[in-house]
Amino acid sequence: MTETRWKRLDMPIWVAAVVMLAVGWLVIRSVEARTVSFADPQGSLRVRYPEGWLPVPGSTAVLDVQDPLTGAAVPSRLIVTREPKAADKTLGQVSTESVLARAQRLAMYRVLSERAARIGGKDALIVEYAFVEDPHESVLAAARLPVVVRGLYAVVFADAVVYHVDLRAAATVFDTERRAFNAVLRDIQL
Amino acid sequence: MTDRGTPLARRSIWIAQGITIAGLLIYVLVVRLAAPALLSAGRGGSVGFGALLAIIPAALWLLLFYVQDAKEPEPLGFVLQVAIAGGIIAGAVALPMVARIPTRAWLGAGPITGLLVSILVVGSVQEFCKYLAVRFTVYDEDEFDEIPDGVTYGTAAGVGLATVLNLWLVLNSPSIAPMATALRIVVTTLAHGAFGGVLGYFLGRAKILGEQSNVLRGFLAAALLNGVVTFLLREVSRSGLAYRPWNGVILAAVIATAVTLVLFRVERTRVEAAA
Repeated sequence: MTETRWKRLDMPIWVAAVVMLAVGWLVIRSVEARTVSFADPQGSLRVRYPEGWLPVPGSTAVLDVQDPLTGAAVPSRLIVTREPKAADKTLGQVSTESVLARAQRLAMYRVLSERAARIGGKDALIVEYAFVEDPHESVLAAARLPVVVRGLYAVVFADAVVYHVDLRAAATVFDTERRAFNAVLRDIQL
Repeated sequence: MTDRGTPLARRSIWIAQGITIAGLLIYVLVVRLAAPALLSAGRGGSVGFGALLAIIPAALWLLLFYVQDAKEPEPLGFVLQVAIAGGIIAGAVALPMVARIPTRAWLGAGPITGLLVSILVVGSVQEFCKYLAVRFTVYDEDEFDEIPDGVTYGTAAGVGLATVLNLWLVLNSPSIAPMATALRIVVTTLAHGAFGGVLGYFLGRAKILGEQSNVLRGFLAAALLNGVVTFLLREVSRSGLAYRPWNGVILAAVIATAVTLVLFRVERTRVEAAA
């Protein structure tokens, strides 16, 4: 009796729920995998970033896009900048100079770690960092509390230029975003 | 199969649901009138008030059930048990799962994807929680002896789930806007009560008429309704960047009323055919 009821009443619902959930997660994963491609018109860099990220108004960077639906106090953001490469500077020197400059610009800037990596087939340095952002221009008063932001900053040489690739997100969602950030860095072509 | 369902004699259940809708609207008006005083409370008072806002609709529904219980003895304890089970399972299963849906996938991927995710993830998880709440508490009890009992218990499970969703909303909001919060709570309560009623109706038929395989249809219907309404509520409650909570309330009230009327009609037709 109990076994019959399990087969006729319960099991179909358990199976249906599991199948629906599995298909639903596949849909979500397929959406997450959608990307937009960007090619630097004055350089060799090509980068893919998540679909739905929008350009940051007024930015002068080569590429500056953010996720308007981050679900955190500050949007997740990708910033790519380019500068001419000085012949006598090593990757480490460029990275150190950039870190010092960012420490002047960003409140409570801290380097959390630094590691060598390969980006687009070239040697690169990736710095993991944190700073405090002040979203004082937020429309909602409740969103004006200072926000801890974490990020990955990569510096890589490409022919005669240096690319700086900065991926940052509110600390509350950084671990969730890290997979997407790593995918952006992994897919860069130079 | 012996037909033990007596839906017309249990008209008070449907009336109670109708009164609940009216009661929730009165609740919103009261919040509207009291909003200035409530806004002057500090953050602590605000959270406490928000929690009260989240619980009142469930209490209202249960109170109405108790009032009609005076005329037709019904197991209020069982109803509470199902509502609490619905809330606990929602807190343990539905909230963590739905909260992990990436926002981008949820909102930014176009209407078809949004609708699919609403049905396949949100609808299925939430209705599965309600099914568990009814199936493993009162389903085997002798008191569950009429088809409308299934509607009652399904609605109770929905109200319990809605209460936990509402509490989560209040406790995770940086600030409480009384009217917007009250309207959101009303929408959630009305909608989940209605979805739970659909699932409960099929559970009632399975228990009383032995139509066990039909429960799957009920589950799929409730999940589909849940997903579609969740999607529509998100669409109608926003106009550009503006939030239009009253649109959601109207839609939820229409859905809840339509579900009640459809269940009533279907059950009446079934009994007349059986007679």
